[in-house]
Formats: sequence, C-alpha cells, structure tokens
Amino acid sequence: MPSSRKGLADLAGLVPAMVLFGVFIAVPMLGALALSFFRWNGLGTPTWAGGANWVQFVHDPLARQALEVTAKVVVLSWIVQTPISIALGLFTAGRQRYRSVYAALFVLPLLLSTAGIALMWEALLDPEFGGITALGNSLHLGFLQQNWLGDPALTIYVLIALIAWQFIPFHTLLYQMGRRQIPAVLFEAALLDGASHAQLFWRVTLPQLRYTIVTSSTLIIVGSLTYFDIIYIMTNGGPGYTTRVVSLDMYQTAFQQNEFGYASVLAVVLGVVGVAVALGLVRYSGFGSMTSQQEGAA
Amino acid sequence: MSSTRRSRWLTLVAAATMMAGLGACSSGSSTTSSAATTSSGSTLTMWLVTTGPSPINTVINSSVAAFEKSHPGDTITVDYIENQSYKQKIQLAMGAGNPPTIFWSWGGGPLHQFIAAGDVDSLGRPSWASGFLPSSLDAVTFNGQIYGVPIEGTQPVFFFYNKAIFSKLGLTFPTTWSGLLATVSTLKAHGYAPISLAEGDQWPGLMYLEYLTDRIGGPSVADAIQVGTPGAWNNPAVVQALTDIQQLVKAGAFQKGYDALHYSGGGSDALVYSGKAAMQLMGDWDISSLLGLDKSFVTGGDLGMAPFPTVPGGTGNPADLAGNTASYVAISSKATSKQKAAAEAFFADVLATASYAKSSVGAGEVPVIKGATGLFAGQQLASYDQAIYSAVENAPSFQYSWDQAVPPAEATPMLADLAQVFELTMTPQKFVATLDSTSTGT
Amino acid sequence: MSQTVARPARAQPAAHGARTATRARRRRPSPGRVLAFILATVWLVVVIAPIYYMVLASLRSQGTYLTANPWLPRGGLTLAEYGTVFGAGLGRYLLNSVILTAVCIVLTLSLCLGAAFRIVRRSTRAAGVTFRILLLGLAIPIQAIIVPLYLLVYKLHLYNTLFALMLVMSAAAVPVSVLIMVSFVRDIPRELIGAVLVDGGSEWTVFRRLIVPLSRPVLATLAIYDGLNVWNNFILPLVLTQSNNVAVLPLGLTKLEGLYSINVPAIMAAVLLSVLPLVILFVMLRKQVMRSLGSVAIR
Repeated sequence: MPSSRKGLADLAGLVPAMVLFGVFIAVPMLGALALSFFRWNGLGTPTWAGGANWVQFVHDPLARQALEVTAKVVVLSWIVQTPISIALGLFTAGRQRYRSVYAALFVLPLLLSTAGIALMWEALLDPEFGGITALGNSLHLGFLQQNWLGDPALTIYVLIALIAWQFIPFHTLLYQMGRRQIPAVLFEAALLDGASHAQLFWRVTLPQLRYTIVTSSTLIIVGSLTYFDIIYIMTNGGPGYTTRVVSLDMYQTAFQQNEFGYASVLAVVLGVVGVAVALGLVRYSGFGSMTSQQEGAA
Repeated sequence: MSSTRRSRWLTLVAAATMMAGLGACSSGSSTTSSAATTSSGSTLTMWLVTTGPSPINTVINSSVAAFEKSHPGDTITVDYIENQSYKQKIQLAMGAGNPPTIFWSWGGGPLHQFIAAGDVDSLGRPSWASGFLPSSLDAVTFNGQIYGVPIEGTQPVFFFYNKAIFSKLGLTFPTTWSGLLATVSTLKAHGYAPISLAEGDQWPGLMYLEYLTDRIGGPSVADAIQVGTPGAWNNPAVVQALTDIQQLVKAGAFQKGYDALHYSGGGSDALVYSGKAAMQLMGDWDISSLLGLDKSFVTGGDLGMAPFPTVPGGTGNPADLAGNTASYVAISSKATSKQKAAAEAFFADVLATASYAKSSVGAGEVPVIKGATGLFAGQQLASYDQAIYSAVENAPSFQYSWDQAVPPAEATPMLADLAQVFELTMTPQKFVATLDSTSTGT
Repeated sequence: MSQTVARPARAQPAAHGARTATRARRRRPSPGRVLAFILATVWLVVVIAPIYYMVLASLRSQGTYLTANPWLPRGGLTLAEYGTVFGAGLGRYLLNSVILTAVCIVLTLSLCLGAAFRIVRRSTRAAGVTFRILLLGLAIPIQAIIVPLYLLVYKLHLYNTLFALMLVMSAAAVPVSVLIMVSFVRDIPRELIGAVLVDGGSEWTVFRRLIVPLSRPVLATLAIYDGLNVWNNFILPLVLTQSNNVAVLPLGLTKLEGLYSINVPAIMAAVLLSVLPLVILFVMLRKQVMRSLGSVAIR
C-alpha cells in the first residue's frame, strides 16, 4: 500500500483525538506548568517567582504527608478492589438465574451520584444517630460504635472502603465480561487433565483474565491517584491532615488559599507521578506496547 | 533538542502563561458589548449564594422586579450559586475579567483581595451609609471608602440551649467560664452530651476561639491578627483561649464524634432538639434552622439563647459580639459606567431602604439599619429578633468572623490547625507559632 | 485454531457452554458453590442496606431523617421531598445531563477507537508519538488545569454552553480510553486485518468491518466508565457554565443546599430519581454488551 494512503489514514484517525486532547488538556497543562514558576493569587498579573514554589514544595511537610496519603489510597484501593471484583465477577458470570438477579443488584452503587453517596454514608456513620451505630446498639456489637469519620487512625480506611463500595461494581462488570469470554474448552481440557477447582482458577481463569486485570488495575490506579469527590465532601482532608490527598491539597491551596503558583507545583507533581505510574504499567504489563503479545501464540 | 525547537517550546509555554495569567489585562471588553447597544437602560448580572428554599430569595426577587419596574430599561439577572462552589467561581471570574456586575461577599479579607487587584468599584461615602448601624459597614470599609451594601441580616453568635434539660436539672445558663465548666460536669453526670459541636466543618470551633480571645484580651487582640501584625498570634490571650478550649475538650464537653459532624446535615441541631445535647454555640441563623427542623421546639419555648460567658480576670466586655456583621453585595470595576450607575441606584433605592429591611424581617432576617426595633412586632420570632438586634445595637465591639477577616492564605491553615487543637493533637503553642509563620510568609 | 482467529471475542463451539451449564444444574450444589452463595449474599447486603436506608431517608423530613429509627419504616413517611425536587427543576438538569453524557460517550469512543486503531497499525511515526503524548495526560486531575481551561473556554466564546462541556469532558477522557483501547485492538490478529486488505479493502474498510464490531466489549466498558465520569463531574459544569438552562444534575443538586443547611432527604430523593434514566440506559447497554459477547460465547 502506498505510504501516502497510510499517512492519510493516520491523519484521519489520529488528528481529531489529538486536537481535542491538545487544545483542552495539553495546552492548559502547559499553562499549569508555567504557572508553577509564578506567584499568583488568581487576580491581576502573576509575578515571576523562579524556583521559589518548588523550593517551598521540597520543604513542605504537608505536601509530603499528602503524597503519602495518596499513595495509601492508591495501593489499598487496588488491594481491596481487585480481589473482591474478581470474586464477584466470576460469581456473576455464572449461568444460574439467581446470579443474574444478584448481578443486576450489584450494579446499583454505580448509578448513584457521588454527592448522594457521600451524604448517605455520612448519615449512616453518624456516631449518635447513624444506622451503623443503631445496628451496633441493637446487636450489641461494640466494634460498630466507632467515630468513623473523626478518628485519625481510622478515617482514611473508612474512606478507602467507601470508594471501594462505589467502584467495585464497575470492576465486577469488567471481570464478569472477561470471564464470559474465556472459552469453555480450556476448562474442559484442564478438567480432563484432572485439575481441581483451585487449579482451574490458577491455571486457566486467572491467566485468561490477565488483560482484564491490567485494564481494571489501570483504571483503579489512575482513578485513585486523582480521587477527590467523596473525600472533599465527607472530611475535606480531616481529621487533622490524615485524609488530605494531593488533589485535595492542590484544590485547597488554589481555591481556598488563593496560591495558584504553588498549587500548580502540586498539580505538576501529581501529573509526573501519573506519568511514572503509566510508564511503569506499560513496562511491566506490556500494556503500552503497540504490537500484540498474542503474536507468538498465534 | 535543537535550539529552534527549544525556542518554539518556550514560545508555547509563554503563550500558555499569558493565557493562564494575563486574562485580566485584556478584559473589560466582556461586559461592554450588551450595554452599548441598549438605548436607555442596561443589563446587570448579580451572583448570590442564598441557594435552597431560603425565604430571603423571595424578598430579593420581588425587590429586583420592583426595581426593574421603577427603572425602565434596566434589568438584573440573578444567579444563585451554592456557597462552597461560589468562592471558586467568583475567584476565576474575577481573575479572567469576566465577573458579574454585582457580586455577593462576606466582606473582610477576600473582598480586600479583590479590591487590591482593582476589581471592585468604590462606592465612596454614599448618603445611605449613615442609615446603617456603625459596626455593620466595617467589613466593607477600606481606607475610608465603602465597597458594599448589606443584603442579608446580621449574624452574631450565641449559645442556643435546650431549656427543658436545664430546668429538669435545675440549672440556669452559666454566665462565667467556671460556671460553664461546672454545668458541663453536671450535664455529663446525668448522661447528656453537654455541648453539641459540628467541628467537621471547622468553622464552628473558631467561634470558641473568637469569643474566648475577646473575653480574655479584649477586641484589640483580634484586630492585630486581622491586619496581620507580625507575631500577633503569639499573644497570651490567644494561648489562654486555646488552652481553655482544650480544657473543655478534656472535660468531655462535646458529643462523641464532634470532630466529624457537619452542621449542614442538621446533626448538631438534632442533638439539641432531640434532648441528647444541651447547647450549641452557633450563629443566629440556627433559630430558623431549628424552626425548619423541629418547629415545636422553637415555638413551644424550649429554645434558649444566651451570650458567651465571661472569663475571670479577662478584659473583654461581656457585651462584645462575634460573628458575621452582615453579608453584602459589591459592584465589579469591570462594569460599564451605565451598569455601575444602575447598580448604585439598586443599592440606594432598594437595598438601603427601610422597606427592604421590613421585607427582610418577614423572611426571618435581622437587618442592620438604624431604628429597626419597631419592625419585629408580630413576627413569629419577634422576641429572638428583638434581642439580637439590641445586642448588635449595644455591642461595644462586633468582632468579624476570623475565617473571613484574615487573608485567604491564612484562613485555611487556621481552621485546619484549630481542628487539631480541638482533637488535642496540636498544642496551643504550636498553633500560634505555625500561624505566625504563615502570616509573615505571605 | 478458531480460538486464535477471534481472540477479542474468543469464539468457542456453541454447544459446550450450554452443556456445561446443564450438567452443573443437575449436580447437587458443591460446598464451594454454597460458600460462594453465602459470600455473595453478604455482599448483596452490603450493597442493598445503605440504598434501602437512602430510600427510607428520602421519605422522611429534614427534622426526622436523623432522629427516627434508621432501619424501620416507622413514623411519618412522606413523599413531600420528591415534590420539592420536581419544584427545583430537576427535569431540566436531568435532560442536560443525559444529552451531555450521551454526546461525550459517542464523541470519546469514536475518536479514541480511530486513534487506537492507527496507533496499533503503527504505519507512520506519528502514531507512536501521539500515543506517548497521550500517556502524559493519564493522571492530570482536572482541578490542576481548571484556571487555564476556564480562560481558554472564555476566549473561545464557549463559556456557558453545553458544547464547551462536551468538548472538555471528551478531551479529558481521551488518554485513558485510548490506552485501554490500544491494549484491546492490539490483540486483534493481524491475519484478520491482512485478509481484509488482501480482499482489496482499505484501512477504512478494516476499521469499519473488523475493528468496530470486534471492539464492542471494550466500547461497552469504556462507555460505562467514561459515561459515569461525565455524569458525576461537578467541577467543570460549575466553572464553565452559569445559567440554569445549561445546568447539569450534579450542579442542580447543590441548589437544594442552603447557605447553612443541606436538605438531605430532598437530595436523597433527587439522587434516587436521577437513577431512573441511568437504569434505563444501563439496561439497554447491558443487553448490547451481553449480545455482543453472547454472539460468540453462548448462542
């Protein structure tokens, strides 16, 4: 095929997405990068600050803490959401009628808007009037009577659990679809070889799901790196600074403290971490390589 | 990378910077277009934060309609934006030179930041200014110039308490700090949560710091903090106030989970009207909030209201108040002269009049014009309104809420660190040291 | 082998699936299945109980939603807050949200699938460069770029239009969508593409006849993911729109919040009502998903 036609096809395929991304994301990103070298309260003209904002970042204990909290959210979100989603995905992929009823109900949290979810859990977790406390009282379960959203040692884990509650349904769907794509012949062949149920899972199901796992993991990691909504509504970073993730830190620095230059430093840092994570995923999963890994098998 | 390519990159970055930062320079064009073509009047936009079914909206909307009728050709489009989101929206609009003609403000530090950037139109010394209570325009007065007019009523802070609990235990509301501590321990012994606190929002705790600082050291301490005097935080009165707060926390005065509860959900009010907690320190809007949540609690006479107790040895006047003197609207400097004239007419002919004050009383507000005493008769909450108005009229000092009074860069760490003082995870000394370094840093 | 040929859809002989299922049904439930049933039921409770609480709270008043027994439908249930919600113009917000979400899904998916296809084909160097640039946008929080974005939209005279939201939100979804599509399209066997080309088809034919139909599962996945992000996004509509007639649902919800108080039951009612169109959309999409999978996996 003449290369000009390929060039034309590339033009038609790549340019629209690239223009959209370039204009509305890449250009503002460059703006944020430039702003990180200025001091600006959001009004009037920014003044050149050189590397002052970056020096401030290096010496900012709150920024370091925010990075740690973010790392915690990312890692724990992956650890919590992945196994539960796989288990539920495999369960809902089953053909029994009752399982499809369960599958439909499992989807519900996905459909509720985040503001509603946050208000709902806030009411449920209220230490005085909340539904969880009431449950603890009537069942005499002391461990249900916690200061869920006010205990510095506990709150971040509560939030991670709530984020999981919101997003596990989506990843369950992914695994359900992934499982249904595995050819039954593979299981039957393994069964003929005398494999047990556990062996079926480790030798057939999990390897066959690896693309689903990578997709789901990417979405979990990228999503929780910039996660904002529920934390902003429910704790706004508290108690103390124990739930202040980087995206929240950046938001408060910009729009509450009106320090847009320093906020841009935090944004750039988050962006760089995101790129590093993306490159890591690309490297270790072969995810980003543009040629098929199936080639060898084919 | 070749040098030409690098320079191209630099150009790109510079262009992005221009876009990011210099929007304000090329502004002005935004609001001019529509007015130029209109023959007589002009079109104004007004941003307010009174979202939800708030009765004052009805008053504002009908006042706007009346103004449009009496000033043919002028129209005012009102947009209501939720308070938390509003801060971000107005900041962006101002920075880009795309603000509404009339915008809402608490006054204080954030308004001053807009003024310093040249974004707010000065009203000078308008004739209507003398019609308001003297303290009520402080928050919008800078260098002798007035920048805003009150649109909603005054919001001083009081203790609101459940009278039924107090009479059952034979208690009266304490007037001194030691009395408060004794009351707390009595209430606790009888199984009540003595004080309801919504510290999840962080600003309710600030009310304690404001009042204690005033009662201990008088109004000058807060004045020094608000104008950013170096070392103003490290004042014995502030340290003492923070220590007293921690004493209250250690005495178990606040309900379980006080550090996570949000006022907006109604939880801290519910503790009081359901008889689980005995009192709450809150702005006077709490009366209408309680009325909406449990009408019989208010109309049945169970709601008590009391000033903040005095502190032994303190120099502050017990009649001093803290809270929001009022909320205001101001005019953007980007407005055309026609728009400004119309907006000023709206302020003088509507918002600063006795008839607007009268309608706002009907919506449950306590206006800040002089001589409003007669307006409350026949109102559902007349006795509370009257008491609030007299307290404001007679207060030697009305201390403006610190989270609005201090510069924005200081407000967020102040609230977050104070929350840690309430959780006993930060000492008073650390608190004042941190804030002194923040305020000199900016 | 047939398996290799249709890898994205993983073909299998039709009868096998059906036979396994029948066999499973005849057998007595194994302990593993019982355990799975129990654990799934536990999760069902975790999912349903809070939503049940939400329904109950939406039927109470602001004054009683906290103080009443949270789990029992006793004491003054009312539909009043549903009336409040309709009075607040929920219908308009809902319509705007549905339009916005639908357009964003179509725009994102069509543009990204085209890009992913070209990236995988790797016919010119531009494809590789594009992919690397897009990766840079993977973890940019929208708040980070909101200031330049606002100025950009304002200067382009797109401020206060749904169109601006459509463009920006679709753009924000590009990096992650392309990344995931590339990983999917990459595994469509080259032999299939080669066969189409040998038959005289153009790259466009390959895209339309082969890539689009085979990509249905990943399109469905991303439609849900990107759609949810648009549906729930609050900050962009807040900053980029102003008037009530272009307000979307998350923005509309905040109009139920007062300066100092949130009408929690009304918000719960609004959230539950707003689920209805989503349920309809989801059921439609779900059928589509299952059919596209089912055509090869069950039949």
